[in-house]
Amino acid sequence: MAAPHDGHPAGEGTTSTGESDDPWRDLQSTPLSFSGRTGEYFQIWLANLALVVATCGLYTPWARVRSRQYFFAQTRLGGTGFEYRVNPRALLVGWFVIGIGLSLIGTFSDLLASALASAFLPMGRREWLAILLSLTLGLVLQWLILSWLLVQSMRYNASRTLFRNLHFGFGSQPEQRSLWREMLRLIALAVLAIPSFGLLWPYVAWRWRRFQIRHRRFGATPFTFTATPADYRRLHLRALPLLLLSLGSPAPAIGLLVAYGDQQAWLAPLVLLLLLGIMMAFLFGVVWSCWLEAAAARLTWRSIHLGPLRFHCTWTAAELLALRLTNNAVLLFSLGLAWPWVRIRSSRYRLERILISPAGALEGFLGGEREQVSALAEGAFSLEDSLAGVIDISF
Amino acid sequence: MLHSSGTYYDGNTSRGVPVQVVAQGDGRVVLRGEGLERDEALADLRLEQPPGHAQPCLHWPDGGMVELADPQLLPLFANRSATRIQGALQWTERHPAGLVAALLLGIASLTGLVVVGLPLLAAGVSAAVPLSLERKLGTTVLAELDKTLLQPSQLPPATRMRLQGLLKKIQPLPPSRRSLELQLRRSSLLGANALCLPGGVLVVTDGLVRLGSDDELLAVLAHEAGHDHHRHPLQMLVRGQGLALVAGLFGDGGKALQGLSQTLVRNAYSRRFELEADREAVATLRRWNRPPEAFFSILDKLERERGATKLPSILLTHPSNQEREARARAGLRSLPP
Repeated sequence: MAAPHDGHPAGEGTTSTGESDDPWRDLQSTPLSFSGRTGEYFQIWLANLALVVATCGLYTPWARVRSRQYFFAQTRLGGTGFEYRVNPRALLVGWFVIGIGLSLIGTFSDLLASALASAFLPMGRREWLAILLSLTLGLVLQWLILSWLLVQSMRYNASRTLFRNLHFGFGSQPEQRSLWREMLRLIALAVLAIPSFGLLWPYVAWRWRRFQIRHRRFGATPFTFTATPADYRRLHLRALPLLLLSLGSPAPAIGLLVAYGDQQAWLAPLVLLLLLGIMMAFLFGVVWSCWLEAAAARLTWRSIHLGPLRFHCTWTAAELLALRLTNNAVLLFSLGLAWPWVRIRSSRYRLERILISPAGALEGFLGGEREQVSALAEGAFSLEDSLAGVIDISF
Repeated sequence: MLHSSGTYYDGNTSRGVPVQVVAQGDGRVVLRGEGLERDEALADLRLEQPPGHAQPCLHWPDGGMVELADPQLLPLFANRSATRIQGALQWTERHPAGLVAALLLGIASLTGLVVVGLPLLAAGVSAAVPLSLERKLGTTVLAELDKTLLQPSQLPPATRMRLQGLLKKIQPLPPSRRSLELQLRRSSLLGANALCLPGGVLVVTDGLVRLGSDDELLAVLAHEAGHDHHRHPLQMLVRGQGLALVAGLFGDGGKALQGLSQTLVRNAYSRRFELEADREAVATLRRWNRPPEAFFSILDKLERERGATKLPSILLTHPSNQEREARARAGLRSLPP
């Protein structure tokens, strides 16, 4: 049995050998496994749906917790499942107060905006300014509130996730304010990435990942994140040709339309060409996002260290593409009824291609301080149910 | 004496120890493993069973936990209230009968919500909205329509005067004490048509005015006034919002289904509203001693103008003319002569 790990990332010596050719063949590694069954989840899903409708939505927290508990328990590492230890009743208050409150505020501000607009129908500069100001104020308020809720919900979910009866954790009580500030910065950066035409995006993606990972811990052992902004920049740069191909697909048709669009005979074939271009753009866009998702996941898992544990992810773009296309087709043709099947098979693919090594080290973790995090914020959100959302690889 | 095997995790390290858990007759539970021996009262232990097929976990008060490898000990916890609730949920999630029960419950409550709940809610909400606000809403909608579907009317002033005179005929009469506002518009897209907007804003197109006699136009105006009397536009708005909320409960699954079923329900609401408004139309004709046939003849003229549809009624916002006529006649018979 491995010696207990202390609270610091151990095994600095092993990392240097880590990145060479394929260290995963010699190491004693074990994959995450997923034992979910479609039929079983289908019935859970259906029961949840029926009870949510029958209770006018009051059952929602139970439905969400039970479905998450199912996915966690079926996610197994070295024969042991994960646990999501939550009493849904604690979420009910948060769901009620914050969830309903937020949606009411949204509806109310919509109504207010339309009432304002119709009240000053011929609008002068002053009225425009008033509306603009109130909208900005609303956005700033949302920014402040949502980022706080997001941090609290991440903290809550982490503290309620267990493996081998040891709690995960995210940040600590005294760190709350700095976590909040970082989240505010992250959201602001993500917004700023829009006018930068995405140039800022690799940096934002890196920073978001770092935020998610380096504040996380298992027991007393913190996760560390070794990727650099340069890694993410290279990744996005390598995906760039696919993106350009996607954006450029309709360009020839648009150019021809501008040049010959006024000639009746040319119009029909040119419009057809444009439609083809748009379809190509969509297709290349999907390929681009699958490639990026797979490559980013491989990079991210490679860069996560937990004590002596290393992770290895073998997602490929082609497989993700096939998964996504078949999922969407089946969802469409089943009118959505195949949702449980889609969830199960996606989780299986995503989880079973993650290897963890060395397997023996799973035994040697020490428990840390247990935290009581308020359930209020988590109630407001419905985040990803699968464990991938908690160790957090879905962005 | 019941006993199970399992793996013990103490909550302080991630180490798992194979153990035997033995429930003794005296209400004590003993746990034995390599270098481990614990003795606890059964009443202080807590059983957790995650949904689906997964090992149940036995929790010790100090945070220790055993992942049980077999279900031998489960009967000991069967009569606890927490276990009973979990058990009921698990029964629903596992057994075919539970599936059927859940489905029936869901369908029954969904039907109740759509048939009784939402209409009641919408009636309450629309009764609480003041007329001034409703009128403002109607004006906004009209302004929006003027930008897209509608163009200014080209009717001669005399015809307009005639129509305003017809409006006066239905206006002051009980039970509708709400003032109505008639707006004449031309529309190439809508053709011969009439609309009722929130707050009693009635829109009649030039095409319809050219198509109908005075009695027929009176019937059309009375039909639209009937929509207003029952606050149909506002109710439709509230019901639509409610439907969207209900559909939101279904989450991400079944998005395609949601759009379709919402449309079907909305169409059903709309058809019911049309029949209600039809009753007002024939009642108004009766009140002014005009033949109710005027209403049926304008319906026929409209159908001839647009061409009859072969779609089943479930896909339509208006019932078929045969049904409308039959229902309106039945309504007439129930009126005092």
